[in-house]
Amino acid sequence: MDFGTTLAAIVTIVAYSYLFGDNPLYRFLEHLFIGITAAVMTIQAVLNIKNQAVTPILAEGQYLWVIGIIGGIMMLARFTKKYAWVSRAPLSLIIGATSALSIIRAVESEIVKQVAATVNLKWTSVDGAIYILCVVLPMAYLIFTINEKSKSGHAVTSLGKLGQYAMMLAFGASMGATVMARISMVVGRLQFLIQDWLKLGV
Amino acid sequence: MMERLQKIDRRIIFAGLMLMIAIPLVKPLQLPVNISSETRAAYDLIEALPSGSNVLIATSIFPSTQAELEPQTIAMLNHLVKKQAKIVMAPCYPDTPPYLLKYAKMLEDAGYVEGIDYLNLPYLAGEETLYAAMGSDFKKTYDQTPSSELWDSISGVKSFSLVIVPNGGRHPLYVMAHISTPHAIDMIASITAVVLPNVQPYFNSGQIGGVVSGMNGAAEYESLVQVPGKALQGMAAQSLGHLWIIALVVLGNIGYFATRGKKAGGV
Amino acid sequence: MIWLKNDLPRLITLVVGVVVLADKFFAFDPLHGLSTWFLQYSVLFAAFAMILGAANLLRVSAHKIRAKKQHWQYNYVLMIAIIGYTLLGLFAGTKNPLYLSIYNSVYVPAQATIISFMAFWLASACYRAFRARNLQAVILLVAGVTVMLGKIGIGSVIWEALPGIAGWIQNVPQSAVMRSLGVGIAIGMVGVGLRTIVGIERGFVGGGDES
Repeated sequence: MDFGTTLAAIVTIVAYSYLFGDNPLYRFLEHLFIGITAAVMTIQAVLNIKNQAVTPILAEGQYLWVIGIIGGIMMLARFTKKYAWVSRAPLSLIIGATSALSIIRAVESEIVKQVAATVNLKWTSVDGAIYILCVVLPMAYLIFTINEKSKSGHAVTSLGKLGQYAMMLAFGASMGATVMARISMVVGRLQFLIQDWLKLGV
Repeated sequence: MMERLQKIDRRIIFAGLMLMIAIPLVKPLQLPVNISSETRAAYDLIEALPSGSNVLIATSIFPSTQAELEPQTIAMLNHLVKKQAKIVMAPCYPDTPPYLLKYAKMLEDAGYVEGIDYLNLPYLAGEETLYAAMGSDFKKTYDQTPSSELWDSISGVKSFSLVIVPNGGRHPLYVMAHISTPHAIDMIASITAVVLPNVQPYFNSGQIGGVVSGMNGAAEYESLVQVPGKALQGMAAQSLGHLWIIALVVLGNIGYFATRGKKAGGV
Repeated sequence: MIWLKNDLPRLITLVVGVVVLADKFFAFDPLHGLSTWFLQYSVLFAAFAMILGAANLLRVSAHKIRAKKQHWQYNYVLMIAIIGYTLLGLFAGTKNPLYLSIYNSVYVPAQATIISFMAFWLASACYRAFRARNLQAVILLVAGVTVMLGKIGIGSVIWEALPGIAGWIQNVPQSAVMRSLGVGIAIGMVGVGLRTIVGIERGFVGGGDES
């Protein structure tokens, strides 16, 4: 049983003690963990800046990165109340880029290709027919801007009720997947305690 | 009695869950593994790789997701080593780099040499913008990577035959949109089980070539490559954990319906 | 000054958004080069933003200590951890044995264990809240239980057909509904993205004096 594994086991047991009641040991661990999290982010951020911008400027004379460094320092102005507005410029660059990327992703991958895949399904097969229904019916449910009293509105609303059942089936399956994911986390921790630390059941 | 069924102390619930998961870890139990179509597709993609193919692993594994993603990654690395693939690992989350050191050691134990057979790239921030930058100009994005035989042989993202994305969130969709689809590169999404519903439609449409999902997906992959690991060991524990949850739901509903009947019929 | 604070950011968003979008549609090397630079800068600025997060945490902790808020003493632990571990990582390197020991023996088990609390909260929630009150709830519960059992080994022990049914639920109705929702969300994303780029959405231009 090496020291590192034993320390990790103690940390795990102290963390799990919270399930049975808050206590000073857990609070100490919690603050230590948050501090290390922030430190890890800072270290990786500094290394990122060094690798991506500082080294190219100093070692290779790529002076376009000076604009990047200036923009990054402007981001840090967000820390002060008086000069926080200075951070808007680099933030706007990020927002512009991510907005454009999200449009590209949405249009090509999430609308065109998904609709094409649905249209190309074999609707004469049982699975294909059910798939198309389960795509269309929830959309009928999610149309809230329709006049329910009109004939077509009433038809859409009725179809929407069927869409609700399809959605419940999907959300139930999602719930099952969520349970699987969460239980896996505990399995991982107990595998470490029982098999890696105590060497039982191996 | 029926009212008590709805008021079980939560510490009993917690202790019960721990016990149900712990027992099969102490006394291992073999359960069958059913291979899903998504895992089979992921396996087939790697199996079809010609020897010496370049594979990019853009990973965001961190402690919260390691229980599911690490067994998947190790199983796929074992498979990639069998296929003698050249592996480039790019961390896309600040917590990921130490995990890559572990995988590098694993590859070196299998005879891989850094710079020739595998590479660890540095962490870069940005998530979707990072993937878009990779897709736009991969070499420029990782400009400061030291020259080596493997790095010099890569001209851009198109040099990769396969991209594997271990992640517990939306990153597979970003990689699909900005790397895999524009450059027609096969892609495997290696994900936590909770993300599968979001990724499934893209697997069904063929935009994502294979999906390894959750600890069960890792167990399936381990059985396909015949290298048992943590996931196969954990399946019995996972099963009993699920049975405990189902038992709790049933108990809660029995109590609910029994007391509802009393409230409806009683004075 | 107002132009610098309000209009310049919107202009930057417009230019960057248009360049990155246009690069998708036009094969024009200078445009591609400019778009790549904008993406590289985004990556760099994101790194600076991470430092901002840690600095803010230090500031909040210092405030809690000064104001003697509840459990204020623990904030010393937090501040020492941030500063000490950062200095260790930056000066000794991220491959240093002490750095990796603390990472693997303290940080990894702490985070992995704390996130696993979700399984316990979920168990408690399943017990208290999942009631088969109506047909929709019954469908939800049956689908959930089927997937929970079918996707793992015990499913085929209970009933041979269970894994197949669970796989069908995930591949057909669940995938279809998620596709339906995904397309709707994507349409919304296009709208919000365009509004942001052309400057109709101004919420992100915040921080500091608005005048």
